[in-house]
Amino acid sequence: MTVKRLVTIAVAVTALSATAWVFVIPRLRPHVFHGVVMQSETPAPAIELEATTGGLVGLDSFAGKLVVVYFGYTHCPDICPATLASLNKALDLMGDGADDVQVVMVTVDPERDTVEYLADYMAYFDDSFIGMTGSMEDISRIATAYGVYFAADEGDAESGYTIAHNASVMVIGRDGHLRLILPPDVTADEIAADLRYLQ
Amino acid sequence: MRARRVALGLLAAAVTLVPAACNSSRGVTVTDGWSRPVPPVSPASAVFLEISNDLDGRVTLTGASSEACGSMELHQTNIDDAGVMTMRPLADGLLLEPGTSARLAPGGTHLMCLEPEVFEGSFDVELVLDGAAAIVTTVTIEDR
Repeated sequence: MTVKRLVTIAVAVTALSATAWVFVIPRLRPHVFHGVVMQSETPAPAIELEATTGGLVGLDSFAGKLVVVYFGYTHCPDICPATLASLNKALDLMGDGADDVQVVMVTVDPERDTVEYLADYMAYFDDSFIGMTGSMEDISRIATAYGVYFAADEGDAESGYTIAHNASVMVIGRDGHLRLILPPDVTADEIAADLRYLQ
Repeated sequence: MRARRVALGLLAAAVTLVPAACNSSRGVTVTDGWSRPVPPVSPASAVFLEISNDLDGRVTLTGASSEACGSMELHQTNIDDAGVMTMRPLADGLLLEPGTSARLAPGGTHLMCLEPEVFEGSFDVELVLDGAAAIVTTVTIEDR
């Protein structure tokens, strides 16, 4: 075998390895989710509340879509707007794939968050985002079913009361089952990667 | 002519150095003030910044005010292992030991701007300090 042929083979092997390393191997790696994966055999707990899109809306309205559910409130100055902004960025990153994702914020502060107020608030982040509210009894029942704790703190500050709440992001799969719980500090890139995989 | 040039040079140096000297003599510096954009209907937003105390004594950030906010309060956000977020006023303020700094950041300590009136660009915030003179800093509204 000539030196020239050896060099040619070496170059070809290197090129093939590089191609496999860059394009093939990453696709063979299992996806690593950025939150807690749920393998529930039963459908996600029902949500039927008054929505910013008008009237009572249930999860079945979003059949076939991934539904991202967040429990928050508009008087929350830090985590809630940050999470909604991250969700908006994630949808931007997903491009056309975002059409099959529905983001819903269920308020944990129905006393202050009216439907009209929620509509203005949610539209700021994304026109497609939906806010939901209802009676405290209904919201408490739904939140409990999702393992979401919330409780108003004493309103001794000028800001009025604040609400301690679980700030995780729930993802319901296209089959209507709860699939993923993302932590409050999840980034837009991480959300987009997980939602793409679940699609 | 030469004397005039020297005088102008001294004047320029004074204009540059005097404010810097005033800042450093205060010993407390505030940098990187920012606030995340929130909907114009939002009743509250959060202001973040970094504050350093280079004085020999303790300094406490006790509060703040701004024409861009109906009122401001110093708050602490905590997120526990279960993902539950709680937020409480820091009644005793934020203590800075000599030679230390603190970063007010998302998910932690922040200045809560109640009834915000400015939703883009920037606005000034006056920080009230115990142990040092008040400081006015500019807060930029940006999506980070």
